[in-house]
Amino acid sequence: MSKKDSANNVHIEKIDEIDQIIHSPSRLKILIVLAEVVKADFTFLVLTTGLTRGNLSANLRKLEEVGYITIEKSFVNRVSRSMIQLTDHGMMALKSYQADMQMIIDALLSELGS
Amino acid sequence: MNTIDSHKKLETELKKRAFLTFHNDGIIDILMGWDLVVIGVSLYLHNMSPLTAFIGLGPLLFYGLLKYEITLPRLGHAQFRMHRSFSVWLIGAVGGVFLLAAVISGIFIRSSSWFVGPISFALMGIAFTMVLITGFNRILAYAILIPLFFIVGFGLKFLSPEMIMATGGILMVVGIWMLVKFLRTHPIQAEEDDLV
Repeated sequence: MSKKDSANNVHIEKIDEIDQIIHSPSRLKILIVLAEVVKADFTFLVLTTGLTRGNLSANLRKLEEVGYITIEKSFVNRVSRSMIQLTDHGMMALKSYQADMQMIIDALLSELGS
Repeated sequence: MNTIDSHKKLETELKKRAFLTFHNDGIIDILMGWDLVVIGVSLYLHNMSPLTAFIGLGPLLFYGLLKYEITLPRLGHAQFRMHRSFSVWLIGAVGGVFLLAAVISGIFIRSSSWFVGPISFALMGIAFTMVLITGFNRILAYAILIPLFFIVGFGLKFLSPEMIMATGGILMVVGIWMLVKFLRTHPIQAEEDDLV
């Protein structure tokens, strides 16, 4: 196997290591929005991501389970409001995901170019 | 485009979208329209006084409360990172000076013909401080253009009390139409319907 082939195999294997929690269009949208704000409430995320309320809720729970976000519930005028914030762990995971995807895409482009 | 640039672009895009939808409720249009109607009526009746200024500008004090009660429950709330540069702080400080000038000149105003001073100061002050509050530099262009139009209009004498009243009336009608549309498009949905 040539050096180039083994390099490409490394990148193909990298695909298996991609964070499957982040590697979902819905959750990626959520994390990208949260990465750009300090915190946001549920309604803001619904409007910004375009996800349905049920879909957003399910994905938020999943992200909270792995510690990528925190959800603070409070009551404003007797109506519950959830404020969602990206954790440091979540930010690191997102950056790592970005780096992995960039590596894979660069390898693919290099392969297509050769 | 490198990572930092794309982050900045996305943040600006989110802020712009949030800012524009935040003002689709028509509230600022209703309040500004009301101000213009009061100014127009006061000029027409030759009765500019601190009382008329209070009647005109007083409802602006409820702007925050109206946003909190009407807009935020429907659009949601996000706290953006506010990177305020020195120039934005400087603009805000200039706005504060204009507002102070508006208050002081408004207290000492004796003749309707000198109203241009306090009103211009107030408009510039509000617009400049909005740049500081929102961190949205684009408002600066409007902050300069709108008061300039006001001053030039009176300087060149093409603005009359009737025209100001009519403009204010139209703004209020547009604002009310926007508010009705906004309330229909964004009903409040209680979070307890959701699973979070």
